[in-house]
Amino acid sequence: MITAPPAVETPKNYINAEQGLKSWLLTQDHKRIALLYLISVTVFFFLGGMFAVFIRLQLATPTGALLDSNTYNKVFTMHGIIMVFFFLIPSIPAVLGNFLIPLMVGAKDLAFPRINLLSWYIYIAGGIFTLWVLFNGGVDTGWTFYTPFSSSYSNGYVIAAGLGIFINGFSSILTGLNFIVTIHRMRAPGLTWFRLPLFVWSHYATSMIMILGTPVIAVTLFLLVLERGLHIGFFDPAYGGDPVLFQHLFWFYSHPAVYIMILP
Amino acid sequence: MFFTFKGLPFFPETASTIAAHVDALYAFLVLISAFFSLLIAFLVVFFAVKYRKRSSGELPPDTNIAGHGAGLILEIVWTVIPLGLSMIMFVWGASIFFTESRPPADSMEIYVTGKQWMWKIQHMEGPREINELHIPVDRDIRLTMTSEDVIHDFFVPAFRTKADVLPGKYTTEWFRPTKIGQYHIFCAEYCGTKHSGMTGTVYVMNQDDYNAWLAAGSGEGSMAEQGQSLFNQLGCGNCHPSVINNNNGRCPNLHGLFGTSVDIKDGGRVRADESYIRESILYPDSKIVAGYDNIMPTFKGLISEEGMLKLVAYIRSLGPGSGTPTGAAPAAVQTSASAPQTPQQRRTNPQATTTPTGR
Repeated sequence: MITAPPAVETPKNYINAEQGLKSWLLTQDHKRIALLYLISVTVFFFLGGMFAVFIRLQLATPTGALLDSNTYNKVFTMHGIIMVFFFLIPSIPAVLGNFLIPLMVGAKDLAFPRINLLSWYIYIAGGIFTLWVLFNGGVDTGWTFYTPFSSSYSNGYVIAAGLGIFINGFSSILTGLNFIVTIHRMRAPGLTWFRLPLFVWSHYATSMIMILGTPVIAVTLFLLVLERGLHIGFFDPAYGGDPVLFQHLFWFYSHPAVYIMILP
Repeated sequence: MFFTFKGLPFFPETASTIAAHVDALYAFLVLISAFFSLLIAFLVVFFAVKYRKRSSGELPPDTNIAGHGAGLILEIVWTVIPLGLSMIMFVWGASIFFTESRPPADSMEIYVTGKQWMWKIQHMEGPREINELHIPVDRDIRLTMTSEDVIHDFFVPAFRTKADVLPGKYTTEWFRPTKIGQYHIFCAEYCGTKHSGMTGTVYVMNQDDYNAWLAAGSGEGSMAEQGQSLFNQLGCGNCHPSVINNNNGRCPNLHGLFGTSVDIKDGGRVRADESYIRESILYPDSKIVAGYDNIMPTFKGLISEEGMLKLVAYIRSLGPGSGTPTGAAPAAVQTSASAPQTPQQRRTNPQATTTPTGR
């Protein structure tokens, strides 16, 4: 007599452990959060990539027949902002770091699972701000926001773009905090520092940079918002300020930021 | 116009003394990058093949992570060699940077004002141009530049030089053209709508053609002369003595000032260069000369950047200082032998200030 073989139960994993949208959006599982980041980072990548395509099309002809000058300036600015702040900086730490660091140190999850989820929501909030800027006509200062063009001459939504990046910076800071505490405090017994995989070391260094550097650009963009809104005069020589000061403050973060992008 | 490879524009011409040096450094960087890129690409493929899993269940070979023996030597070698290469890049690059940031003392001076979206150029002898720069070949040329609005950058690819042009301060760029011809000027710092259209042409001519071009110039007089009329117009002479040595004690004497060291109230000394003159006119309370009161009014809003440059040229013409030859003829350079003097000294040593310059 042939009986049906016993049903093989699919082992429970992070994908099928719970069902439903709410279980994903309120998860504290580092692997699920990594996937949430993967999807949102990919969406932003394609958005930034679309702008890159517009740049290429515009530059394919000597006369630039596709876009007028102001629109082109907005296109390359949005390409830069989206690619740098919403793809390059978060992508590998937030996706691969979230997924692999607990596995590589032998921990059940990161040190602060709820803060991990908060990081993702802050990233989404910053992204929505930036999308709002985009749909309202964009910003044309270049992703480096040099003053006094951005503080006194630009006609785009500089304040909103600056705030979007400011908010997004907190996502970086909290992720970095999470990684550092996890790597310090949650390594499996016997897993000494010099036995850690290179991947963990590189994310440790990246997290240091995220925590120390991101506040600087946050403050810089906030000063830019104040300058543009209240004409205080940090950066515009017309009000007694120094445009090079903005450059120094901006690049104090943005050079280390490229190490955030490359080390992982 | 361009160095072409099979008809395709590859590199701009090299038309200045620094261009070949910049290109050599660039070639070195490209070669190093190409070498290491190819090496790493090759190693990735090679190791991926060599250490592939040949059967399921196969474990990776044991690696010695302790870091001694042959492993240590390897680590040292592949640290020291890149360190040496980076140090070579650093020293080579720094030496070119120092050359580019130190114009020769007898450079010919030309003033540049950038604004959205054009270049305004003023020659010391008076002629002005827009988006064009006529210069003689085989002369050291120093550009003193400022912006009327946002940050621009004066870039001449054929000279391999560029420098940001900032509002509120003077920046400089120097070069020595070696080839007669026409070369592009580009704005190299994003400045708004027509940034990509903010272009121009450098015309490098032989000295005689340049003299002729200057002579056919604007008829407004030299920059110093225009500056003098602006000086009188704005009433500067009411306080600052217009007669040599007639110091009424209210304001520093501007004769013999340019290029000397000035003692500032509350201590400190500054060199009376272009930036100091500009700052004193716009923000007179920032560096008050020792021994004088804070009574000078500001002229902010009353003088354009071009007017400012004319005043600077006039004040320069009054002084010993680091005078620069005019472009009209290659004059012999008179180096100033006068020691830096304080206003008090100049008051008591009138003869020391009467140094007319033929520059």
